[in-house]
Amino acid sequence: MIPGGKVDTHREQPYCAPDFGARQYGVTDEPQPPDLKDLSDRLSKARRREDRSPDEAGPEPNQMGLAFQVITEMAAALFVGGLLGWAIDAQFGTRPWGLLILLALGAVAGMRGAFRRARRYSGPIDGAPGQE
Amino acid sequence: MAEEAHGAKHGPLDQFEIDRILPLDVFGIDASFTNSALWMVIVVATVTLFLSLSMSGRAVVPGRWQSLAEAAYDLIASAVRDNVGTEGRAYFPLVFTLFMFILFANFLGLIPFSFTVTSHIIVTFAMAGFIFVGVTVLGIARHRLKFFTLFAPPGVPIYLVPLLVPIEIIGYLTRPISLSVRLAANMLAGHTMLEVFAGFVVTMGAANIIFGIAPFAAVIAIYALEVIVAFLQAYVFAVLTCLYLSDAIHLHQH
Repeated sequence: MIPGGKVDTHREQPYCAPDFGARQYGVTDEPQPPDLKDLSDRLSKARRREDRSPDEAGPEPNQMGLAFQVITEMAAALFVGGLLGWAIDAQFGTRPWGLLILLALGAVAGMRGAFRRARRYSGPIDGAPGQE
Repeated sequence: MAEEAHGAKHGPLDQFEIDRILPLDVFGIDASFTNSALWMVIVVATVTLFLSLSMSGRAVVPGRWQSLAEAAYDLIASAVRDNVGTEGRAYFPLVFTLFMFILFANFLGLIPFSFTVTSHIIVTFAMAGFIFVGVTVLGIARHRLKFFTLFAPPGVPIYLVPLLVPIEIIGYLTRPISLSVRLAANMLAGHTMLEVFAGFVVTMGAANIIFGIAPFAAVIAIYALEVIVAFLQAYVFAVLTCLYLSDAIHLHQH
C-alpha cells in the first residue's frame, strides 16, 4: 500500500503478484523474454507431475483408516488361507494338515500385507506433493 | 438378533432388511426388485443428475455445483495419476464411476429412513470381485505369462520361493475380500451404532428428558463421523482399485 494513495514510481519491487515470475525482472525494466531455463524447469516439473511413477505418493495416511485397512487385510488373509486349506483337505482328504499349513501361510500373508502397507506410508515425507 | 431386544419393535439391524417391492421370479431365480435395487437406481439417477446438471453450464469460472463436480473429478484423476501413472488414464472412467457410485450410495444412506446399498457385503463384493477379475484378466492380457512373476517377488533367495509363492497367492486372493469387507463393515458398523444411540435417546429420554441429551449429542457426533467415513471409504475403494490396476500394469516396478 502506498501512503497517500500516490503511485510510487521509484519502487524497486514489482507491481504484480510474485507468482507471475516478476521477481527476476522488475516492471520498470525493459521487458525481457522469459528465462528459457526457468521455462524448461517448470516444464520438467509439470512433466514429472504428469507421469510420476506409481507408489511415490499414496493417499493421505489417515490413522484410523489405515488401522482399519490393516486389520481387515489381516483378517481376510487368514480367512482366505483357512478357506483354501479347508478346500484342499476336502479335496485330497489330508485333514487336518492343509488347513493348518494354509492357515499359518494366511497369517503370514496378512502380516506381510500389513507390513508392506505400513512401510508405504512411513516412507520419507520430504518433498511429497500436497495431495488434497 | 431382533428377539434379544424384547419390547422394542425396531432393532438397530432392521434398517438393513431387504424388502421385495416387486416380486419377480425368473426361472426359479429370485430376481425381485427390492428396496436395495430401488436405492441403487436412485443412486445412479442422482449421480447422473448431479454430474450432468452441474456441468451443464461449463463456465470457465465454476459456480458452486460445478466446483463440486470438478473437485470430484480432480480427486480421482490425481489418484489415478499418482497410483497408476500415465497408463492409468484409460481406466479413469472405471475408477470414477465406482467412486461416484459408492460415494453417493454412502451419502444417500445417511438420509434417515433411506437404505444404505453399500452396507450389504454382496453389493460391495460384486464390485470388488469385478475389479479382481478385471485386473487379473488385464494383467494376463498385458504381460501373458510374465504376469505370474507377480507372485514371485524379485530378489528373493531361491529356497524361499516355494514358501513365498503360496503366501503371495493368498495375499492376492485376499484383495477382493478385504476390499469388500472394509466398505460394508464400515457402513454396517456406523449405521448400527447410529441406530443404537438413537434408541438410547428414546429409552433414556422417556425416563427423564435430561437423560436423553447425552445420547442425542452422541448421535450428532457419530453422524458427523459417518459423513467423513462415507467419503473416506469411497475414496479408499477408488485408491485401492488404482493400486490393483497399477500392480497389473507395472507388475513389480515399484
